[in-house]
Amino acid sequence: MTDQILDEPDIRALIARAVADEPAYDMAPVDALDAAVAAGRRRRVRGQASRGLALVAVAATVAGGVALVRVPSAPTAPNLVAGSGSVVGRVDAPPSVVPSASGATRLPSPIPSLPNPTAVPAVSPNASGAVTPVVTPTPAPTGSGSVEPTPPPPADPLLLSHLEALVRSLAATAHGTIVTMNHDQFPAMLGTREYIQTDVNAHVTTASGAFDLDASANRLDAFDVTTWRSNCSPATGDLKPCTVVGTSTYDVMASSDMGANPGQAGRMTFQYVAAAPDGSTLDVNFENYTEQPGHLKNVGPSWKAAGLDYAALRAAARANTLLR
Amino acid sequence: MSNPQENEFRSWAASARPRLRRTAFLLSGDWHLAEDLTQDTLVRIYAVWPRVSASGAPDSYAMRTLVNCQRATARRPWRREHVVDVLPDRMQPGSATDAGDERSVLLDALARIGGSQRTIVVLRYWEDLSVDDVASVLGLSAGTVKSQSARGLARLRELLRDELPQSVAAGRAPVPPLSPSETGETS
Repeated sequence: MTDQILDEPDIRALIARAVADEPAYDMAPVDALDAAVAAGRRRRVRGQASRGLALVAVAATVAGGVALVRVPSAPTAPNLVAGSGSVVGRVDAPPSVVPSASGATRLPSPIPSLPNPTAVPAVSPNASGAVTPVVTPTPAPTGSGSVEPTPPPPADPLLLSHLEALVRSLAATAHGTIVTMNHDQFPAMLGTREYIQTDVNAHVTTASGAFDLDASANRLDAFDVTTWRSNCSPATGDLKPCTVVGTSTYDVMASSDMGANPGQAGRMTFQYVAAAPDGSTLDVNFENYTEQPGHLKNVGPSWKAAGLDYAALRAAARANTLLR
Repeated sequence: MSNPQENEFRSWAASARPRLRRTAFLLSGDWHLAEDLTQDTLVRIYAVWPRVSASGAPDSYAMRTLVNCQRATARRPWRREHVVDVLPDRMQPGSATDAGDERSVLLDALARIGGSQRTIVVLRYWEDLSVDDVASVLGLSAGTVKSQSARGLARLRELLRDELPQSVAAGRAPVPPLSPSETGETS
Protein backbone atom coordinates (compact mmCIF):
# COMPACT_ATOMS: atom_id res chain seq x y z
CA MET A 1 0.00 0.00 0.00
CA THR A 2 1.48 3.34 -0.92
CA ASP A 3 1.26 6.41 1.21
CA GLN A 4 1.46 8.82 -1.69
CA ILE A 5 -1.22 10.33 -3.80
CA LEU A 6 -0.66 9.27 -7.36
CA ASP A 7 -0.85 12.62 -9.05
CA GLU A 8 -0.58 13.51 -12.71
CA PRO A 9 3.25 13.56 -12.78
CA ASP A 10 3.31 10.10 -11.18
CA ILE A 11 0.92 8.75 -13.77
CA ARG A 12 3.08 10.26 -16.52
CA ALA A 13 6.17 8.64 -15.03
CA LEU A 14 4.47 5.27 -14.65
CA ILE A 15 3.27 5.30 -18.24
CA ALA A 16 6.71 6.30 -19.49
CA ARG A 17 8.31 3.42 -17.60
CA ALA A 18 5.71 1.02 -18.96
CA VAL A 19 6.87 1.54 -22.53
CA ALA A 20 10.55 1.65 -21.65
CA ASP A 21 11.05 -2.04 -22.43
CA GLU A 22 9.90 -1.64 -26.00
CA PRO A 23 10.82 -4.82 -27.86
CA ALA A 24 12.30 -5.03 -31.33
CA TYR A 25 9.92 -4.66 -34.21
CA ASP A 26 8.31 -7.73 -35.74
CA MET A 27 9.01 -6.29 -39.14
CA ALA A 28 12.07 -4.29 -40.10
CA PRO A 29 11.29 -0.61 -40.58
CA VAL A 30 12.06 -0.54 -44.28
CA ASP A 31 10.00 -3.67 -44.92
CA ALA A 32 7.17 -2.27 -42.84
CA LEU A 33 7.08 0.95 -44.82
CA ASP A 34 7.22 -0.95 -48.10
CA ALA A 35 4.39 -3.16 -46.93
CA ALA A 36 2.36 -0.16 -45.81
CA VAL A 37 2.88 1.56 -49.13
CA ALA A 38 1.94 -1.57 -51.07
CA ALA A 39 -1.15 -2.20 -48.95
CA GLY A 40 -2.05 1.46 -49.13
CA ARG A 41 -1.89 1.33 -52.92
CA ARG A 42 -4.20 -1.69 -52.96
CA ARG A 43 -6.52 0.14 -50.63
CA ARG A 44 -6.61 3.19 -52.88
CA VAL A 45 -7.40 0.99 -55.85
CA ARG A 46 -10.15 -0.76 -53.93
CA GLY A 47 -11.54 2.58 -52.82
CA GLN A 48 -11.59 3.87 -56.35
CA ALA A 49 -13.19 0.65 -57.53
CA SER A 50 -15.85 0.94 -54.85
CA ARG A 51 -16.63 4.47 -55.81
CA GLY A 52 -16.69 3.43 -59.45
CA LEU A 53 -19.11 0.64 -58.60
CA ALA A 54 -21.31 3.12 -56.79
CA LEU A 55 -21.35 5.42 -59.79
CA VAL A 56 -22.23 2.50 -62.05
CA ALA A 57 -25.04 1.61 -59.69
CA VAL A 58 -26.32 5.17 -59.79
CA ALA A 59 -26.11 5.21 -63.57
CA ALA A 60 -27.96 1.92 -63.76
CA THR A 61 -30.50 3.32 -61.37
CA VAL A 62 -31.13 6.33 -63.54
CA ALA A 63 -31.45 4.18 -66.63
CA GLY A 64 -33.67 1.59 -65.04
CA GLY A 65 -35.78 3.64 -62.69
CA VAL A 66 -34.31 2.27 -59.50
CA ALA A 67 -35.41 4.17 -56.45
CA LEU A 68 -32.77 3.23 -53.92
CA VAL A 69 -29.07 2.67 -54.10
CA ARG A 70 -26.50 2.11 -51.45
CA VAL A 71 -23.09 3.64 -51.69
CA PRO A 72 -20.31 1.88 -49.85
CA SER A 73 -18.57 3.85 -47.21
CA ALA A 74 -15.09 4.86 -48.15
CA PRO A 75 -12.75 2.40 -46.50
CA THR A 76 -9.87 4.80 -46.34
CA ALA A 77 -11.32 7.69 -44.47
CA PRO A 78 -12.02 6.83 -40.87
CA ASN A 79 -13.24 9.82 -39.07
CA LEU A 80 -14.72 10.97 -35.85
CA VAL A 81 -17.41 13.51 -36.33
CA ALA A 82 -17.10 16.31 -33.84
CA GLY A 83 -20.16 17.50 -32.05
CA SER A 84 -21.96 14.27 -31.55
CA GLY A 85 -18.95 12.63 -30.02
CA SER A 86 -19.93 9.41 -31.64
CA VAL A 87 -17.81 7.16 -33.79
CA VAL A 88 -19.31 7.09 -37.20
CA GLY A 89 -18.14 6.09 -40.61
CA ARG A 90 -17.64 8.68 -43.19
CA VAL A 91 -19.71 8.22 -46.31
CA ASP A 92 -18.32 9.34 -49.59
CA ALA A 93 -21.32 9.78 -51.78
CA PRO A 94 -21.62 11.14 -55.30
CA PRO A 95 -22.95 14.67 -55.28
CA SER A 96 -26.24 13.59 -56.80
CA VAL A 97 -27.29 11.54 -53.82
CA VAL A 98 -28.07 12.49 -50.24
CA PRO A 99 -26.44 10.41 -47.52
CA SER A 100 -28.45 9.40 -44.50
CA ALA A 101 -27.20 8.61 -41.05
CA SER A 102 -27.14 4.90 -41.73
CA GLY A 103 -25.01 5.21 -44.82
CA ALA A 104 -27.84 4.40 -47.17
CA THR A 105 -28.42 7.02 -49.77
CA ARG A 106 -31.56 8.01 -51.53
CA LEU A 107 -31.84 9.80 -54.76
CA PRO A 108 -33.14 13.28 -54.13
CA SER A 109 -36.32 12.70 -56.08
CA PRO A 110 -38.03 9.82 -57.82
CA ILE A 111 -36.50 9.19 -61.20
CA PRO A 112 -39.04 8.62 -63.95
CA SER A 113 -38.47 5.52 -65.99
CA LEU A 114 -37.03 6.15 -69.37
CA PRO A 115 -38.52 3.70 -71.85
CA ASN A 116 -36.04 2.35 -74.30
CA PRO A 117 -37.80 1.63 -77.51
CA THR A 118 -35.17 -0.76 -78.73
CA ALA A 119 -34.83 -2.89 -75.63
CA VAL A 120 -37.03 -5.80 -74.74
CA PRO A 121 -38.17 -5.36 -71.18
CA ALA A 122 -37.35 -8.31 -68.96
CA VAL A 123 -40.49 -7.72 -66.96
CA SER A 124 -43.56 -6.23 -68.52
CA PRO A 125 -44.55 -3.02 -66.86
CA ASN A 126 -47.88 -3.08 -65.22
CA ALA A 127 -50.79 -1.07 -66.36
CA SER A 128 -50.03 1.93 -64.24
CA GLY A 129 -46.51 2.13 -65.51
CA ALA A 130 -45.04 1.86 -62.02
CA VAL A 131 -41.54 0.52 -61.80
CA THR A 132 -40.64 -2.17 -59.33
CA PRO A 133 -37.84 -0.82 -57.16
CA VAL A 134 -34.63 -2.73 -57.41
CA VAL A 135 -32.07 -2.52 -54.66
CA THR A 136 -28.53 -2.86 -55.77
CA PRO A 137 -26.49 -5.29 -53.71
CA THR A 138 -24.21 -3.67 -51.22
CA PRO A 139 -20.59 -4.56 -51.85
CA ALA A 140 -18.92 -6.41 -49.04
CA PRO A 141 -16.91 -4.22 -46.71
CA THR A 142 -13.46 -3.80 -48.12
CA GLY A 143 -11.55 -2.50 -45.17
CA SER A 144 -10.26 -4.69 -42.41
CA GLY A 145 -11.14 -3.12 -39.12
CA SER A 146 -13.05 -0.38 -40.83
CA VAL A 147 -14.76 2.15 -38.67
CA GLU A 148 -18.24 1.23 -37.54
CA PRO A 149 -20.64 3.08 -39.83
CA THR A 150 -23.53 2.75 -37.44
CA PRO A 151 -23.96 5.62 -35.04
CA PRO A 152 -24.56 4.75 -31.42
CA PRO A 153 -28.16 4.34 -30.36
CA PRO A 154 -29.77 7.53 -29.12
CA ALA A 155 -29.76 7.98 -25.39
CA ASP A 156 -33.00 7.94 -23.47
CA PRO A 157 -34.43 11.43 -24.10
CA LEU A 158 -36.11 11.51 -20.71
CA LEU A 159 -32.87 10.73 -18.96
CA LEU A 160 -31.07 13.34 -21.00
CA SER A 161 -33.65 15.95 -20.11
CA HIS A 162 -33.27 15.12 -16.43
CA LEU A 163 -29.50 15.35 -16.63
CA GLU A 164 -29.71 18.62 -18.49
CA ALA A 165 -32.17 20.03 -15.95
CA LEU A 166 -29.84 18.94 -13.17
CA VAL A 167 -26.89 20.75 -14.74
CA ARG A 168 -28.98 23.85 -15.35
CA SER A 169 -30.24 23.95 -11.79
CA LEU A 170 -26.69 23.57 -10.41
CA ALA A 171 -25.48 26.38 -12.67
CA ALA A 172 -28.32 28.53 -11.39
CA THR A 173 -27.41 27.70 -7.80
CA ALA A 174 -23.91 28.95 -8.52
CA HIS A 175 -25.35 32.14 -10.06
CA GLY A 176 -23.55 31.21 -13.25
CA THR A 177 -24.29 31.53 -16.92
CA ILE A 178 -24.09 28.48 -19.15
CA VAL A 179 -21.84 29.34 -22.08
CA THR A 180 -21.96 25.97 -23.84
CA MET A 181 -23.85 22.77 -23.21
CA ASN A 182 -23.05 19.52 -24.97
CA HIS A 183 -24.41 15.99 -25.14
CA ASP A 184 -21.51 13.66 -25.83
CA GLN A 185 -21.88 10.01 -26.68
CA PHE A 186 -18.84 7.78 -26.62
CA PRO A 187 -17.94 4.13 -26.14
CA ALA A 188 -17.08 3.06 -22.63
CA MET A 189 -16.01 -0.34 -21.41
CA LEU A 190 -16.92 -2.54 -18.52
CA GLY A 191 -14.50 -5.42 -18.68
CA THR A 192 -14.65 -6.46 -22.27
CA ARG A 193 -18.18 -5.21 -22.77
CA GLU A 194 -18.68 -1.99 -24.61
CA TYR A 195 -21.53 0.36 -24.01
CA ILE A 196 -22.37 3.85 -25.09
CA GLN A 197 -22.16 6.46 -22.39
CA THR A 198 -23.88 9.81 -22.70
CA ASP A 199 -22.61 12.83 -20.84
CA VAL A 200 -24.29 16.20 -20.51
CA ASN A 201 -21.78 18.89 -19.75
CA ALA A 202 -21.85 22.64 -19.46
CA HIS A 203 -19.21 25.32 -19.30
CA VAL A 204 -20.40 27.86 -16.77
CA THR A 205 -19.07 31.34 -16.12
CA THR A 206 -19.56 33.28 -12.91
CA ALA A 207 -18.33 36.58 -11.60
CA SER A 208 -15.37 34.79 -10.03
CA GLY A 209 -14.39 32.62 -12.98
CA ALA A 210 -15.47 29.56 -14.96
CA PHE A 211 -16.06 25.91 -14.20
CA ASP A 212 -17.35 22.79 -15.94
CA LEU A 213 -20.21 20.59 -14.82
CA ASP A 214 -20.63 17.14 -16.27
CA ALA A 215 -23.45 14.70 -15.53
CA SER A 216 -24.01 11.16 -16.75
CA ALA A 217 -26.04 8.15 -15.72
CA ASN A 218 -25.59 4.55 -16.75
CA ARG A 219 -26.31 1.09 -15.52
CA LEU A 220 -22.98 -0.52 -16.18
CA ASP A 221 -20.46 1.64 -14.41
CA ALA A 222 -18.90 -0.34 -11.59
CA PHE A 223 -17.59 2.83 -9.93
CA ASP A 224 -20.66 3.34 -7.79
CA VAL A 225 -21.57 4.95 -4.47
CA THR A 226 -19.92 2.27 -2.36
CA THR A 227 -16.70 2.40 -4.33
CA TRP A 228 -16.41 6.17 -4.14
CA ARG A 229 -17.20 6.18 -0.45
CA SER A 230 -14.56 3.56 0.18
CA ASN A 231 -11.99 5.32 -2.01
CA CYS A 232 -12.34 8.64 -0.30
CA SER A 233 -12.69 7.60 3.33
CA PRO A 234 -9.40 7.86 5.26
CA ALA A 235 -9.90 4.59 7.06
CA THR A 236 -6.62 2.89 6.24
CA GLY A 237 -4.34 5.67 7.34
CA ASP A 238 -2.93 6.44 3.93
CA LEU A 239 -3.35 9.75 2.24
CA LYS A 240 -6.37 9.90 0.01
CA PRO A 241 -6.71 11.85 -3.18
CA CYS A 242 -10.24 12.73 -2.15
CA THR A 243 -12.35 13.15 0.95
CA VAL A 244 -16.00 12.45 1.56
CA VAL A 245 -17.89 15.68 2.09
CA GLY A 246 -21.29 14.15 2.64
CA THR A 247 -22.90 10.78 2.19
CA SER A 248 -26.07 8.83 2.75
CA THR A 249 -27.17 5.34 1.88
CA TYR A 250 -27.70 6.23 -1.73
CA ASP A 251 -25.27 9.02 -2.51
CA VAL A 252 -21.84 10.38 -1.80
CA MET A 253 -20.00 13.61 -2.53
CA ALA A 254 -16.22 13.36 -2.73
CA SER A 255 -13.99 16.39 -2.96
CA SER A 256 -10.46 16.53 -4.36
CA ASP A 257 -8.19 19.40 -3.45
CA MET A 258 -5.58 19.88 -6.16
CA GLY A 259 -4.50 23.25 -4.88
CA ALA A 260 -1.10 21.98 -3.75
CA ASN A 261 -0.06 21.36 -7.35
CA PRO A 262 2.14 24.08 -8.84
CA GLY A 263 0.10 26.83 -10.41
CA GLN A 264 -3.22 25.33 -9.37
CA ALA A 265 -3.94 27.15 -6.14
CA GLY A 266 -7.66 26.98 -5.44
CA ARG A 267 -8.34 24.04 -7.71
CA MET A 268 -10.96 21.99 -5.93
CA THR A 269 -13.20 19.54 -7.71
CA PHE A 270 -15.93 17.18 -6.65
CA GLN A 271 -17.55 13.97 -7.73
CA TYR A 272 -21.14 13.39 -6.74
CA VAL A 273 -22.40 9.85 -7.21
CA ALA A 274 -25.94 8.72 -6.51
CA ALA A 275 -28.02 5.61 -6.98
CA ALA A 276 -30.91 6.56 -9.25
CA PRO A 277 -34.40 5.09 -8.89
CA ASP A 278 -34.09 3.16 -12.16
CA GLY A 279 -31.00 1.30 -10.98
CA SER A 280 -28.46 3.41 -12.83
CA THR A 281 -25.70 5.44 -11.23
CA LEU A 282 -25.74 9.21 -11.49
CA ASP A 283 -22.30 10.77 -11.76
CA VAL A 284 -21.75 14.52 -11.53
CA ASN A 285 -18.27 15.95 -11.94
CA PHE A 286 -17.12 19.51 -11.22
CA GLU A 287 -13.85 20.87 -12.64
CA ASN A 288 -12.79 24.45 -12.04
CA TYR A 289 -9.94 24.95 -14.47
CA THR A 290 -9.37 25.99 -18.02
CA GLU A 291 -6.25 24.57 -19.56
CA GLN A 292 -3.62 26.86 -21.02
CA PRO A 293 -0.60 25.95 -23.12
CA GLY A 294 2.14 24.12 -21.22
CA HIS A 295 -0.25 22.37 -18.83
CA LEU A 296 -0.94 25.63 -17.07
CA LYS A 297 -4.38 25.92 -15.60
CA ASN A 298 -6.52 28.97 -15.07
CA VAL A 299 -8.39 28.13 -11.91
CA GLY A 300 -11.98 29.23 -11.39
CA PRO A 301 -14.08 29.21 -8.22
CA SER A 302 -13.95 26.10 -6.08
CA TRP A 303 -17.19 24.25 -5.54
CA LYS A 304 -17.42 25.79 -2.11
CA ALA A 305 -17.07 29.28 -3.52
CA ALA A 306 -19.65 28.45 -6.16
CA GLY A 307 -22.12 27.38 -3.49
CA LEU A 308 -22.41 23.81 -4.74
CA ASP A 309 -22.33 21.86 -1.51
CA TYR A 310 -23.66 18.42 -0.68
CA ALA A 311 -27.11 19.70 0.25
CA ALA A 312 -27.44 21.56 -3.05
CA LEU A 313 -26.39 18.52 -5.07
CA ARG A 314 -28.67 16.22 -3.19
CA ALA A 315 -31.61 18.58 -3.60
CA ALA A 316 -30.97 18.98 -7.33
CA ALA A 317 -30.63 15.23 -7.86
CA ARG A 318 -33.82 14.55 -5.97
CA ALA A 319 -35.72 17.29 -7.75
CA ASN A 320 -34.81 15.72 -11.08
CA THR A 321 -35.70 12.17 -9.97
CA LEU A 322 -32.08 11.07 -10.18
CA LEU A 323 -31.69 10.09 -6.53
CA ARG A 324 -33.35 7.07 -5.04
CA MET B 1 0.33 9.27 -55.78
CA SER B 2 3.35 11.07 -57.15
CA ASN B 3 6.88 10.14 -56.20
CA PRO B 4 7.47 13.25 -54.10
CA GLN B 5 4.27 12.57 -52.20
CA GLU B 6 5.27 8.98 -51.64
CA ASN B 7 8.68 10.04 -50.42
CA GLU B 8 7.02 12.54 -48.15
CA PHE B 9 4.81 9.81 -46.76
CA ARG B 10 7.77 7.50 -46.20
CA SER B 11 9.66 10.20 -44.39
CA TRP B 12 6.71 11.04 -42.17
CA ALA B 13 5.88 7.39 -41.51
CA ALA B 14 9.44 6.55 -40.54
CA SER B 15 9.40 9.24 -37.90
CA ALA B 16 5.84 8.65 -36.70
CA ARG B 17 5.99 4.88 -36.47
CA PRO B 18 7.77 4.49 -33.12
CA ARG B 19 5.47 6.97 -31.45
CA LEU B 20 2.35 5.39 -32.92
CA ARG B 21 3.54 1.97 -31.83
CA ARG B 22 4.10 3.03 -28.23
CA THR B 23 0.73 4.71 -28.06
CA ALA B 24 -0.89 1.67 -29.64
CA PHE B 25 0.76 -0.47 -27.00
CA LEU B 26 -0.69 1.63 -24.20
CA LEU B 27 -4.11 1.45 -25.83
CA SER B 28 -3.97 -2.30 -26.46
CA GLY B 29 -1.52 -3.66 -23.89
CA ASP B 30 0.16 -5.93 -26.44
CA TRP B 31 3.26 -5.10 -28.43
CA HIS B 32 2.40 -7.40 -31.33
CA LEU B 33 -1.09 -6.02 -31.58
CA ALA B 34 0.40 -2.56 -31.30
CA GLU B 35 2.55 -3.24 -34.34
CA ASP B 36 -0.48 -4.47 -36.28
CA LEU B 37 -2.43 -1.38 -35.29
CA THR B 38 0.44 0.85 -36.31
CA GLN B 39 0.76 -0.84 -39.66
CA ASP B 40 -2.98 -0.65 -40.25
CA THR B 41 -2.88 3.04 -39.38
CA LEU B 42 -0.05 3.68 -41.82
CA VAL B 43 -1.87 1.78 -44.57
CA ARG B 44 -5.00 3.85 -44.05
CA ILE B 45 -3.06 7.08 -44.01
CA TYR B 46 -1.12 6.20 -47.15
CA ALA B 47 -4.39 5.73 -48.99
CA VAL B 48 -5.42 9.31 -48.22
CA TRP B 49 -1.98 10.85 -47.84
CA PRO B 50 -2.41 13.72 -50.31
CA ARG B 51 -5.42 14.93 -48.35
CA VAL B 52 -3.81 14.31 -44.96
CA SER B 53 -0.62 16.00 -46.00
CA ALA B 54 -2.50 18.99 -47.35
CA SER B 55 -4.33 19.34 -44.05
CA GLY B 56 -1.00 20.09 -42.37
CA ALA B 57 -1.76 17.93 -39.34
CA PRO B 58 -0.84 14.35 -40.22
CA ASP B 59 0.06 13.50 -36.63
CA SER B 60 -3.35 14.47 -35.35
CA TYR B 61 -5.05 12.54 -38.14
CA ALA B 62 -2.82 9.56 -37.43
CA MET B 63 -3.75 9.59 -33.76
CA ARG B 64 -7.43 9.68 -34.64
CA THR B 65 -6.99 6.84 -37.09
CA LEU B 66 -5.04 4.80 -34.56
CA VAL B 67 -7.75 5.23 -31.95
CA ASN B 68 -10.39 4.16 -34.47
CA CYS B 69 -8.34 1.13 -35.52
CA GLN B 70 -7.95 0.10 -31.89
CA ARG B 71 -11.66 0.44 -31.23
CA ALA B 72 -12.52 -1.55 -34.33
CA THR B 73 -10.07 -4.26 -33.33
CA ALA B 74 -11.45 -4.43 -29.81
CA ARG B 75 -14.94 -4.96 -31.24
CA ARG B 76 -13.99 -7.97 -33.31
CA PRO B 77 -15.61 -11.14 -32.03
CA TRP B 78 -12.37 -12.98 -31.40
CA ARG B 79 -11.27 -10.21 -29.06
CA ARG B 80 -14.28 -10.61 -26.82
CA GLU B 81 -14.75 -12.82 -23.83
CA HIS B 82 -14.16 -16.51 -24.27
CA VAL B 83 -14.42 -19.51 -22.02
CA VAL B 84 -11.21 -21.05 -20.69
CA ASP B 85 -10.53 -24.13 -18.62
CA VAL B 86 -8.08 -22.48 -16.27
CA LEU B 87 -8.26 -18.94 -15.05
CA PRO B 88 -5.18 -16.92 -15.96
CA ASP B 89 -2.75 -16.04 -13.20
CA ARG B 90 -3.22 -12.60 -11.76
CA MET B 91 -0.93 -10.69 -9.50
CA GLN B 92 -1.88 -10.41 -5.86
CA PRO B 93 -2.37 -6.87 -4.57
CA GLY B 94 0.85 -5.39 -3.26
CA SER B 95 3.03 -8.07 -4.78
CA ALA B 96 4.67 -5.93 -7.43
CA THR B 97 8.37 -5.92 -6.77
CA ASP B 98 10.21 -4.66 -9.79
CA ALA B 99 9.81 -2.66 -12.92
CA GLY B 100 8.31 -5.57 -14.84
CA ASP B 101 5.65 -6.06 -12.21
CA GLU B 102 5.00 -2.36 -12.08
CA ARG B 103 4.50 -2.40 -15.83
CA SER B 104 2.08 -5.30 -15.56
CA VAL B 105 0.15 -3.54 -12.85
CA LEU B 106 -0.14 -0.37 -14.90
CA LEU B 107 -1.22 -2.19 -18.06
CA ASP B 108 -3.72 -4.23 -16.12
CA ALA B 109 -5.09 -1.06 -14.56
CA LEU B 110 -5.33 0.64 -17.95
CA ALA B 111 -7.15 -2.38 -19.33
CA ARG B 112 -9.58 -2.29 -16.45
CA ILE B 113 -10.52 1.36 -16.85
CA GLY B 114 -10.97 0.63 -20.55
CA GLY B 115 -12.84 2.46 -23.25
CA SER B 116 -12.60 6.17 -23.74
CA GLN B 117 -11.14 6.78 -20.29
CA ARG B 118 -8.12 4.69 -21.16
CA THR B 119 -7.74 6.50 -24.46
CA ILE B 120 -8.05 9.88 -22.78
CA VAL B 121 -5.52 9.02 -20.08
CA VAL B 122 -3.03 7.79 -22.67
CA LEU B 123 -3.50 10.79 -24.95
CA ARG B 124 -3.26 13.28 -22.10
CA TYR B 125 -0.50 11.76 -20.01
CA TRP B 126 1.58 9.96 -22.60
CA GLU B 127 0.97 11.89 -25.79
CA ASP B 128 0.85 15.08 -23.72
CA LEU B 129 -2.07 16.44 -25.69
CA SER B 130 -4.05 19.29 -24.25
CA VAL B 131 -7.70 18.93 -23.29
CA ASP B 132 -8.73 20.68 -26.49
CA ASP B 133 -6.49 18.47 -28.64
CA VAL B 134 -7.86 15.30 -27.07
CA ALA B 135 -11.37 16.63 -27.59
CA SER B 136 -10.55 17.21 -31.23
CA VAL B 137 -9.07 13.75 -31.73
CA LEU B 138 -12.00 11.98 -30.07
CA GLY B 139 -14.74 14.27 -31.30
CA LEU B 140 -15.85 15.11 -27.78
CA SER B 141 -16.33 18.40 -25.99
CA ALA B 142 -13.59 19.67 -23.71
CA GLY B 143 -15.86 19.31 -20.69
CA THR B 144 -16.33 15.62 -21.31
CA VAL B 145 -12.59 15.13 -21.76
CA LYS B 146 -12.00 16.83 -18.41
CA SER B 147 -14.58 14.77 -16.58
CA GLN B 148 -13.52 11.49 -18.19
CA SER B 149 -9.91 12.33 -17.48
CA ALA B 150 -10.73 12.94 -13.82
CA ARG B 151 -12.69 9.70 -13.59
CA GLY B 152 -9.97 7.77 -15.40
CA LEU B 153 -7.32 9.10 -13.03
CA ALA B 154 -9.48 8.32 -10.04
CA ARG B 155 -9.87 4.75 -11.21
CA LEU B 156 -6.17 4.45 -11.90
CA ARG B 157 -5.39 5.71 -8.42
CA GLU B 158 -7.79 3.23 -6.92
CA LEU B 159 -6.39 0.34 -8.92
CA LEU B 160 -2.74 1.27 -8.56
CA ARG B 161 -2.71 2.32 -4.95
CA ASP B 162 -3.34 -1.17 -3.70
CA GLU B 163 -1.14 -2.95 -6.18
CA LEU B 164 1.97 -0.86 -6.58
CA PRO B 165 4.72 -1.49 -4.05
CA GLN B 166 5.47 1.24 -1.58
CA SER B 167 8.81 1.93 -3.19
CA VAL B 168 7.40 2.57 -6.61
CA ALA B 169 5.07 5.41 -5.82
CA ALA B 170 6.80 6.74 -2.75
CA GLY B 171 10.22 6.68 -4.31
CA ARG B 172 9.07 8.40 -7.47
CA ALA B 173 11.84 6.88 -9.50
CA PRO B 174 13.22 9.12 -12.23
CA VAL B 175 11.51 8.87 -15.55
CA PRO B 176 13.69 7.29 -18.21
CA PRO B 177 14.71 9.57 -21.04
CA LEU B 178 11.96 8.42 -23.33
CA SER B 179 9.17 10.46 -24.76
CA PRO B 180 6.77 10.19 -27.65
CA SER B 181 8.70 12.86 -29.45
CA GLU B 182 11.57 10.47 -29.99
CA THR B 183 11.65 9.60 -33.59
CA GLY B 184 14.44 7.07 -33.98
CA GLU B 185 13.63 3.52 -34.97
CA THR B 186 14.84 0.93 -32.53
CA SER B 187 15.51 -1.83 -34.95
